[in-house]
Amino acid sequence: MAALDPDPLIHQPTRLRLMMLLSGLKEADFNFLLSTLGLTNGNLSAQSAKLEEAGYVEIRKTFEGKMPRTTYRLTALGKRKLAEYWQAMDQIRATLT
Amino acid sequence: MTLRIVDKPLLLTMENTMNDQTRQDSSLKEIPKWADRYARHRVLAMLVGVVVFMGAAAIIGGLSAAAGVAWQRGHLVLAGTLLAADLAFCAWWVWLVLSRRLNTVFERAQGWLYRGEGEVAPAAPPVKPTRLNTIVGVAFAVAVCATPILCDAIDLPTRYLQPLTAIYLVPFTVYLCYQQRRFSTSLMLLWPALYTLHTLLVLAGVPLLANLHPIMAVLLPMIGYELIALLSAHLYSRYALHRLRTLARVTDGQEGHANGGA
Repeated sequence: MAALDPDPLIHQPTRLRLMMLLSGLKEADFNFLLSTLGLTNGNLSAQSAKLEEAGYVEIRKTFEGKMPRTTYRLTALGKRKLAEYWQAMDQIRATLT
Repeated sequence: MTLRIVDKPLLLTMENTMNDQTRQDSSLKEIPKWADRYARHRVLAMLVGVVVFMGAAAIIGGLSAAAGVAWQRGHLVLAGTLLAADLAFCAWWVWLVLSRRLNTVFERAQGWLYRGEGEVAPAAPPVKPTRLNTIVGVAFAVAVCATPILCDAIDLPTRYLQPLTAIYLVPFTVYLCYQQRRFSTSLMLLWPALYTLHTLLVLAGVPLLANLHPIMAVLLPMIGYELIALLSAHLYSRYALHRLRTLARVTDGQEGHANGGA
């Protein structure tokens, strides 16, 4: 089996947890991610922006009445990259143990 | 000559680090499962819905009963007024349901009830309504209407009214749980399970709710067990959220290490 390299973009702890959270849901809003991950507004925005730039996460900004609402969902590319990430990590662990 | 240096403490540290990393990976892999469980057990709006429907039923039934009493006592104007109020309330309620405004109210209630936790949508795809839903709904309505007629026809003792309703109520509630499976879980099956248990106890001679009016002896367990199932689901959602936050929270140490890879 060819060796896989863990995606460094996903390997960052905050981004990894963010992607794992979204992989269990259809979508989640900013407040849910903030309260569940225990991050600051700035940190979540910065990390999710990196994932959006790479095409792993889709971010949608809408309004409910006058209230802004931001929702996040994992893209098909994001799901595939996450699965590949864990394949690579499992391969590495198996090699080292 | 080959010199082999074995630093046992270093090897032990490396092994411990590897074990810690493996444990951390296992924990991280549980996040999607707990996220899904949490999303599917957010039933507070359904709990509110049951209470609201109970309230509406109580108002409709209460006004109707009061109109009957007023009529029997000869207060015709009062009886007419109460009946008119009852019909107006029924019409308003049917309009609320058919115009889907009630759905909007419950969606807003859901958002308000979970405002501290944010909004999520479960990953399972929505269940599309089918013709079977209509057939099941009509069959249930027919069974409900036929029950008093059947009881009169065969002169059924009132204590057997609740067990009789179990014949159609249990399959109907199981079907409802299956249809709502995207937003619900097997915990909702507590509802038909408890109703079945209640039925078996009544048939075995246990005087459950025997002193109540026969209709209340049906309605109380029907609504009560639904509330118990919903409450169980809600409590499970608290546990699921706690597990999720424990697994998903980034600690300062992890964030510090991560900044090198940011």
